[in-house]
Amino acid sequence: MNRYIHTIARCLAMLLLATMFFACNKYDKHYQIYELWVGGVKVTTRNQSDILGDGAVRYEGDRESGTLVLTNANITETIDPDADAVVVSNIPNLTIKLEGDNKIGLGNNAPVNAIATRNLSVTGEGSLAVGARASCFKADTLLIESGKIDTYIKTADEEVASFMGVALWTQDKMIINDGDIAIHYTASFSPISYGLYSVSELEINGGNIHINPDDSQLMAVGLITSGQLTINGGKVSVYGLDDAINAKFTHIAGGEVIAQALDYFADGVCRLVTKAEITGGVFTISDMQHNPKSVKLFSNDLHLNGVSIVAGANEISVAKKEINNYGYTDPYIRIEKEE
Amino acid sequence: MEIEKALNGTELTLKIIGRLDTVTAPELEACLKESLDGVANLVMDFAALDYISSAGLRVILQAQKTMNKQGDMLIKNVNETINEVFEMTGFVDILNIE
Repeated sequence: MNRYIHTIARCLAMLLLATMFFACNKYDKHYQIYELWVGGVKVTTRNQSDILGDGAVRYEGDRESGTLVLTNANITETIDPDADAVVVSNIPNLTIKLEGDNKIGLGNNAPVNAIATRNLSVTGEGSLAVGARASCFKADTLLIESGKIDTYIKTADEEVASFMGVALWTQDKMIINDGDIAIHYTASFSPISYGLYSVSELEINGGNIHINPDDSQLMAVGLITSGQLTINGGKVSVYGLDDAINAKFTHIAGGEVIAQALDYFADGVCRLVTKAEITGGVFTISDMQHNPKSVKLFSNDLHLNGVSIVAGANEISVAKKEINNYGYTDPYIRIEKEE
Repeated sequence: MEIEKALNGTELTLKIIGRLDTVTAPELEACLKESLDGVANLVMDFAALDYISSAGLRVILQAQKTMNKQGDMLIKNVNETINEVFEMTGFVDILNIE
């Protein structure tokens, strides 16, 4: 009798284990959680086709890569407005596709960060207006392929987050291939706020980038990288409080660059610190404050290959010296391709 | 730029030698990131610091934010040029400078 009961018990146990196994598998098949939060909502397979329930935001992809499609979306919430971003992603490769006119972080209270991701691409023919106090885009890498993007760093006074505000920030490579990007700054005065900042590498191949177009408040530095800045094409217009451009290594091979700044620290409107090569395009530099007849471009090692300095430069030193132009009648240096 | 570190219990002193600019600021940032765990008092000695740019100011401010949560931070031996930068930028009101 005991043996009979033990046999039944073992069968029941095995049946129970088998049921649990299949139930778990069935559960996994139909429900997955992504490392992606949008507007304070965690994205799962159950809600990914309409994340916020308004038809404006959906995710197409899996746990490794995918596309967050925004269609006339207006997303303002975060899980924690003083810590998180409106869009937070730990998905290794995420694309944001813009359809229609979209807004992130432009509610009554701007979030600390708007979009915080790992590798991010932005594409689509729509637009995106982004507001935040510390960073509008913060990513490991960022690739902008298209779209009309307006970023707004904004805050109340005396807040440290926006004091260090950066519109687009990457630890690794930032590439702009196309698109229409405008960087606005409405926060308090800060000498350490940046427009486009990559710790390692910033590359511009096309598009139209306009930093501080409103002139009402100025970000301190327009383009800045502790590594390589490469400009191959497109149009970049910068009006900075301190430096228009600040880079360790610089190569300008094409495009049109208009760099204006107040040179707040009086150490160069453009600081192309270690080595700079200008081999093409048109690069115009203006000092809007110190001396309308003098523009300071700082470089330890400047090479001009196939381009010439125009607009009346009096003295040009190529290697290991600052380039100063005194006695200008025009308040700018322009470097153009030689005919 | 060189950084000399001296740890005495929970007090960490970093002596910054040279220039703190776009090129060298990431190095200080990395040093702070790996050194501040368990530190209650951070002292930054600027006696040998020749120049600081906005990139350096960001790293200093980030360090101040971190230390606000776990202790305090003091900047000492600031030369006239660096002090002028701190005054121009309003950092004198944010940092504890001796």
